[in-house]
Amino acid sequence: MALEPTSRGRFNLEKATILMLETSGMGMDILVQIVTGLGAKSLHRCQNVDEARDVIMRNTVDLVIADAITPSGEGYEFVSWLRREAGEPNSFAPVVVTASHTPVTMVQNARDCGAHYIVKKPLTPVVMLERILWIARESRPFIECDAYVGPDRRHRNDGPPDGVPRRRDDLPLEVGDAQEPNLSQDQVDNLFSTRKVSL
Amino acid sequence: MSAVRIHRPNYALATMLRQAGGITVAEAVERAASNLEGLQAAGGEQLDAGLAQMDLIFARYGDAFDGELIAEHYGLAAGLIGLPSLCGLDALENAAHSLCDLLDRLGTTGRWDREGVQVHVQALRLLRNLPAGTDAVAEPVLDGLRKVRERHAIQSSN
Repeated sequence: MALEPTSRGRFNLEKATILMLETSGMGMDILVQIVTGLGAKSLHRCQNVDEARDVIMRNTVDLVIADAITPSGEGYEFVSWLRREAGEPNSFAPVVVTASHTPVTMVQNARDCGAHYIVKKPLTPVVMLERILWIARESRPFIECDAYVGPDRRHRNDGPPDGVPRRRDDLPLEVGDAQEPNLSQDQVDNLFSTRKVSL
Repeated sequence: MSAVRIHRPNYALATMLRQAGGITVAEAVERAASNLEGLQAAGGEQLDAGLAQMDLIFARYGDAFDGELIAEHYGLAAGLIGLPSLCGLDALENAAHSLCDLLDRLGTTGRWDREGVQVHVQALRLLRNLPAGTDAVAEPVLDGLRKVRERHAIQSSN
């Protein structure tokens, strides 16, 4: 559910240590103004992946906000490294990746890097806060296997996408009139009663 | 098949967010938005510098496909994303996304569409000079960009 920007609900980011990876100076300024506005005080600002790795190896972070670094996609590689090689507890850290544009060649990297969310720029305070609160609330299972390390990607069931035709063997949307009489209560009860089965 | 480990890590962040004190969502959003207003002037300058650079890149295009130049142009266009919105120029933000979509498609297919790129570069200039909030004026321009994308069967990422 979308976050209501006028909500009186409270949250506290003051104690959270946040790593921010952003190569653009203005991009970093925008991010800093957003997260400090949301109440964060302990920030690690990293202008490249090497700095970010160094911070990860020396500190425990509670949240990572990493730019994808278009077009090279180094940000996705950083998140993959974080998940596989950084060691606990940082390897499980909540990660939000920000992306200005995702080139076609990077879609798979974006999907498989192990981030909790990928937020498209322009960044807004509401969307950033919403994603942070979602991560904290949903507590998604963490998956570790050869092909993927990160939060379970199957965390939402939105049903079939709009505009996609139904399968040929799907039942019709419209329910017709009943063709047979309803079951009696006894018949229904019998469906649920325990019976001895001989095999 | 490889072994799969599934577990639920405890996020310290979740505990911290629930701690006493803090601020309301409304206060936080308002404060962050107010912080961003302080960046508008610098963002506008950077946007103008980027558009000037884009004119220079476009001047280097010839009649044939040039993958390296398209990649350079794409990097510059992607770097501008976010700046127009910071300055309240949503239509320009939309156009910058459209240019990224187009350049990405051209770069991956090896096709060249000088006219389509030119339309985008000119649209960026035009939209930069429109006053903020004049979406009705911008709509035909964005519609033109949409038609260019359709010509390349691009489903906009915007």
